[in-house]
Amino acid sequence: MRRLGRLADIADFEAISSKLRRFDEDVRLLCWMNNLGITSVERAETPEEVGVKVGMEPAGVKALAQKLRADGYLDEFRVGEQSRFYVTPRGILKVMATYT
Amino acid sequence: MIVCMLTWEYPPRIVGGISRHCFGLARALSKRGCEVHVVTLGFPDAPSSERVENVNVHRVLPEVGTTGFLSWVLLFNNSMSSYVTKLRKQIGFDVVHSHDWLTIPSGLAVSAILERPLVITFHSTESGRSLGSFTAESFTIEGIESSGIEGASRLVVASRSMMEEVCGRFKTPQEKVRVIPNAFDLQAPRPSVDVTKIREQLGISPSDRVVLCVGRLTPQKGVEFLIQAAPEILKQHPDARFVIVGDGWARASLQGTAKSLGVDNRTVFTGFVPEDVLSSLFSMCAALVVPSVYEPFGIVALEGMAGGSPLIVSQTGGLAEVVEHEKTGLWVYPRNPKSIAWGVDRILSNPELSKQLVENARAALTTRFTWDAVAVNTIGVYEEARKAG
Repeated sequence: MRRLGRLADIADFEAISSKLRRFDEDVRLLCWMNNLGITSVERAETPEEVGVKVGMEPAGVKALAQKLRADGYLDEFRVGEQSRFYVTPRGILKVMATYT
Repeated sequence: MIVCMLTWEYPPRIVGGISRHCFGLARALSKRGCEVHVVTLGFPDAPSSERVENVNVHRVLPEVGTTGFLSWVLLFNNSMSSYVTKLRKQIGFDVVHSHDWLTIPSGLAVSAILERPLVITFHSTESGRSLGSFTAESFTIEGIESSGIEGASRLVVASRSMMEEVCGRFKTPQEKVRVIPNAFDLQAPRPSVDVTKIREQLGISPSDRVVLCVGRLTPQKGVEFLIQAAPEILKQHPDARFVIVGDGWARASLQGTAKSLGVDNRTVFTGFVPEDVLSSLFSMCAALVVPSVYEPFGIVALEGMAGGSPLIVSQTGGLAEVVEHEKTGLWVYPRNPKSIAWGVDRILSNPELSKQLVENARAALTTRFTWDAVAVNTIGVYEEARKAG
């Protein structure tokens, strides 16, 4: 994981200090996207935008996002060539269950 | 009495018991003449403000995000505090009521700004949820719980065991704590779906008997012990089919356990299911097992009672107070697959006993666990809090 700024540092810290360390990488990404407020079409972001905030390469974000989409936790839409992802209601409930 | 209720989950944001509790309590308080304002987190397609069954629901979302869980919790608490601070220009709140640590920061802030007493309902504690396995995060969460206990005028818990836990862990004087058990609304419409359809969807044959387990998939809920009991149960009852409803971070590990024990073909993990499906599962199951290791109350036991499920619960915490052994259900030892297998066998082998337990449980529900009783007792706590300041 490459360090890309303050939010990414928090993500790094969480990965080792909190309950999140127990989770698979895809669930961790889902939690981070929820916490970042990417929970509606209006707030949807590209893998590049998410990658900067969580300290991951865009390709890694995209691969995990597609897995989460297949599970129904994220949704995707395209603007031109660009994919944008956001957390679905099912994904929000998954995050809440993960944290409690 | 004008109540400001703070909770991170409220329908349609439903994960655990807090959402159902707040929904039932807010409606019951309203029926008893209180003006209730629930301030909660936003949810896709849910209006930011609405009035449902005389309860005012306000949904807020943090303006900014962060990856960290704790910092996200503090951000949404800040949004809640700001929102209520604006609301106070139109509404003269009498009391602030937070549910669990997740809204303690906003509860403390709002209580100080409004100069109104704070009541906190502890649905569980971090110590209990983590089963003693603390992360760095847990210490912070327990610190927030501690500050809430210090700052609140009154604390509410749902069982005597929870009162002992709070008083013991935080050295809280018992005079500050009130026990108000949860409730279940038997009058509320219970949508259901066709049982045949559910069986088809889940791949359960008509002759299979469903052993149901509902809850978050975390160690606290003890689902692993039910799965460990499955081989023994299947020896006696090859028609048993285990249906595990819910989700959580331990799901993959539980599925792995089922596979390693060779019972994965007799076990269905459904994830979250809609309310109507859940309601039907409660009524169609041959047994509902609540194998929790830690359970401050266990509202799922009440839901099972209402749905007509024969109950098998761990003899722990609030569960042992909700269910009377051999009268409204069976107790089994916590963390004990053999004991769980014994309980399931007893229910599956004795249809008459099973029927009697269900009838007794339903009767208990109508007398002991009503929302009106919860509302009356909670209003009493609000009045005490106002006097205590």
